[in-house]
Amino acid sequence: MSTTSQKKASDTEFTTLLEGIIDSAYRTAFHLAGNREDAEELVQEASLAAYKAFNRFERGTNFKAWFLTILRNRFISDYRKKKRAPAVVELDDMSDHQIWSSVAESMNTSESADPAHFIVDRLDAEQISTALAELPDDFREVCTLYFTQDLLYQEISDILEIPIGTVRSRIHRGRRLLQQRLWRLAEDRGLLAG
Amino acid sequence: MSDKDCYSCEEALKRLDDFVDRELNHDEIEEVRTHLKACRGCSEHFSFEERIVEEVRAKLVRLDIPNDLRDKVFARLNLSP
Repeated sequence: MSTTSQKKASDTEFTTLLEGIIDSAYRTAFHLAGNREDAEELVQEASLAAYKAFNRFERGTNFKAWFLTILRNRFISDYRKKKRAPAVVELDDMSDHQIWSSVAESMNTSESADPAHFIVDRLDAEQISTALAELPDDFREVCTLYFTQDLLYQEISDILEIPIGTVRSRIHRGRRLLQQRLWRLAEDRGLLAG
Repeated sequence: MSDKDCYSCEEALKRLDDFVDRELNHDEIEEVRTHLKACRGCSEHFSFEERIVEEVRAKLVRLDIPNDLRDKVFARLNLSP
């Protein structure tokens, strides 16, 4: 195959792979960067970096995870510093059982069939995005990947280059903090009894 | 498995997060499921935790993607989508 044909084949392959993950990558970029303009720019820059590095991508491995690693590294180098610090939301250190007990006590019979759906369905996507953005940086990055992508702990560990035990503990704690925040929002909106 | 080998509520709840994230091994999953079949309280709690993750993910996935995102990305790469 000539060099031109090889390049064309490689470009086609890259285009196909990128097409398959671009929406999902944008969602992660949005929750990392916090606004649409930076998210678009971040996806464009990550795509360019991925295109230039495509000869180093190991065929048959997870392209999305590889791309998200590049995207996250671009975020760290170009955007994290300029992103305004999220409001630090002080939350009580509630255990998962305390949160669940509070939910169970506050739901009436008709609501209690699916309390998670009852609460989250009545909150705006923007409120949930904001709650995610208000997590401390380390938790927010892990939880952004966790909630916007269907990744295993190991895949998140590879993307963020942190130990899998750290991923696990940050997801568990971050999830708890997010639940507390959503719970507080539900209370403020009068969704919960008492 | 004898009754005394079944998980207690405490043992099941210790594995709640890993169960939700599919990070338990097969035997642990089965033992948690056995406990959940017998314990309504834990069953409802586990269900709540799983549903919260599903609901939040579903909400976040509804984020509007800019109509011209692909055009901008592929123009930047000088490629056709």
